[in-house]
Amino acid sequence: MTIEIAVLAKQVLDSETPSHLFKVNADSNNLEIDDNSPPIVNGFDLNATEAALRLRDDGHEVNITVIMAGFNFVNEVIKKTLSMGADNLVLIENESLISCDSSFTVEVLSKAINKIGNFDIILAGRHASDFDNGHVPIGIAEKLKLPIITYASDIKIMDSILRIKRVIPSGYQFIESQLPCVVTVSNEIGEPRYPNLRGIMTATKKQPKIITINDLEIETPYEKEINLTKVFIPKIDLDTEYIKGDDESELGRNLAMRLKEEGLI
Amino acid sequence: MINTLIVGEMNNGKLSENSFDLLKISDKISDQTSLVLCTTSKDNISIDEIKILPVDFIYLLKTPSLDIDNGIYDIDTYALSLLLNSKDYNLTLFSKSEYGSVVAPRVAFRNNKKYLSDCTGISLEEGLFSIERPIYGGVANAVYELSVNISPVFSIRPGLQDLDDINNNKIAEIEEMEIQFNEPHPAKMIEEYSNDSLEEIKLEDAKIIISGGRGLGNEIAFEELKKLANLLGGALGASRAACDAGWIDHSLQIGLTGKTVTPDLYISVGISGASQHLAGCSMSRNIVAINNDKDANIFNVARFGVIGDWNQIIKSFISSIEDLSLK
Repeated sequence: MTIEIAVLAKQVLDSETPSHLFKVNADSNNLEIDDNSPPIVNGFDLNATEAALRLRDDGHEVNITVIMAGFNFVNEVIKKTLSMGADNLVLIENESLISCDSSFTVEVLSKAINKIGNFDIILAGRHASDFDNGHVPIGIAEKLKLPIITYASDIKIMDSILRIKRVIPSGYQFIESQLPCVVTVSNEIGEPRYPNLRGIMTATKKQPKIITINDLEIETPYEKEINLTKVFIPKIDLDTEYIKGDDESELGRNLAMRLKEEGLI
Repeated sequence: MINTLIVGEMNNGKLSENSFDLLKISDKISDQTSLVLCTTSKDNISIDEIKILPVDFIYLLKTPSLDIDNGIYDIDTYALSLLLNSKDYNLTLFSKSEYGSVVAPRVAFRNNKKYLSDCTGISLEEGLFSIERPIYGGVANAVYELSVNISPVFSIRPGLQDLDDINNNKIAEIEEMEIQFNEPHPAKMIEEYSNDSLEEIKLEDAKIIISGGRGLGNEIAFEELKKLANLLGGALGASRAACDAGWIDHSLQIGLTGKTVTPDLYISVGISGASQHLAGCSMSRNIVAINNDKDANIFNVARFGVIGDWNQIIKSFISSIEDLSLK
């Protein structure tokens, strides 16, 4: 029996871009990157895709559908999960989806999940690295009345039970959940695989399925109750004192002396 | 009138430090503060100790003690929802701890409340909450406005409040409620492993932290940093890149997706300083950055910078400290 897996993914600006390249776009009240570098699929969502693909590697028959809700999708970017090995891609594109009020995103994705089909497992990254909230998958689980397990670093299917290794501050837990359930995946699961040539070829041929907000019978424009009034880059006023020295050995010695002088060691 | 509910967490029979932060925030903006604690028979709560907390009401929700619910929190989500629906609060505050990161959004979405996580600033003006929180891993800050009438739920970043105590002349009114939970447990916690023994000094408590990143190049390099940490009586930490590479255990990861630390001295070695790493260490009193890339982002937050090959610098740093301590 095929196990149906949904992976929720978001297109974001790469937050690992050197911070001096970010600037505030006052019109959109969001950040943009100076050198116009393309967006990426949120790294944690690629971790979630990797988790789904590993279930296939384990010998399970899985059908992986990636669902992306957002706006201004970039074709080469969104196909990344297909080239990694996901089977289907569903896009929901609407300007309201970039709003800061994520309850709209929760509603859209919950309805899309119900419309597309009978998912056994819904995976998502632990949070999106743009607004760092991490509550959309939790909201969806509450909306769909499904179990929610957060911060997975390993996922295994045992009979009809999902066994999840969950990261906690002091170590980890094993959690077993009935299906269907929602699981958020953390970077501890390990690097997402690089697409191989065959994957890239397959992805090029595949066409994403488009779902509109109207298909989901959701009214727009969405009346938001959270208003993002300002985005700013905080100024760091710190004069770094650079330790001087002719070579590394002297640098190390001078650092020790300086820290001792300051009473820090 | 602002009526605030604080969801407290217990730590060894006492209210956690993170929960105290919430009391301080509420004290500044609320007219009335209620504290709710989900407690089981395992928590030894002293009524005498909690009734002098600076709040007006305390609700003790007596929940069944079930280890299988750890990390899932079905019971607490249920219990807190009951309380939230029986009272009229303008604001509900959680700490952004492991517990709050899961329970706050569960409670908010279950009860159709608006939610913002990891808030670093909160103020109140003319019926609007103004909220500040970091975005893009700390590259920027965002400011939001929400009406008090929609009774939002926020989680607050720990460790940002000042150390002053709150003036208190209140004696809290305490109400105990037995919570029956008869729903099924579709997800169960089966086993838990704590790596606490890996850390001789807990990262969160350490006064000195030596932290290594991708620039170290391999796992053997961490032994050198460990030696330095031992010498200084500090703790060892790492960036996410070093943990993801498998060089060191993830429990030592510092950053947005790891631990938040506030030592007096943070020595970063071979760490470029991605924003998500700085989110976990930039509250340190003094940051020393050792990196061979003079343009590395970490220097922007460093009080002391050393540009060069970390391996040679650390070797000489260690032998100099050994010399200095002999004097």
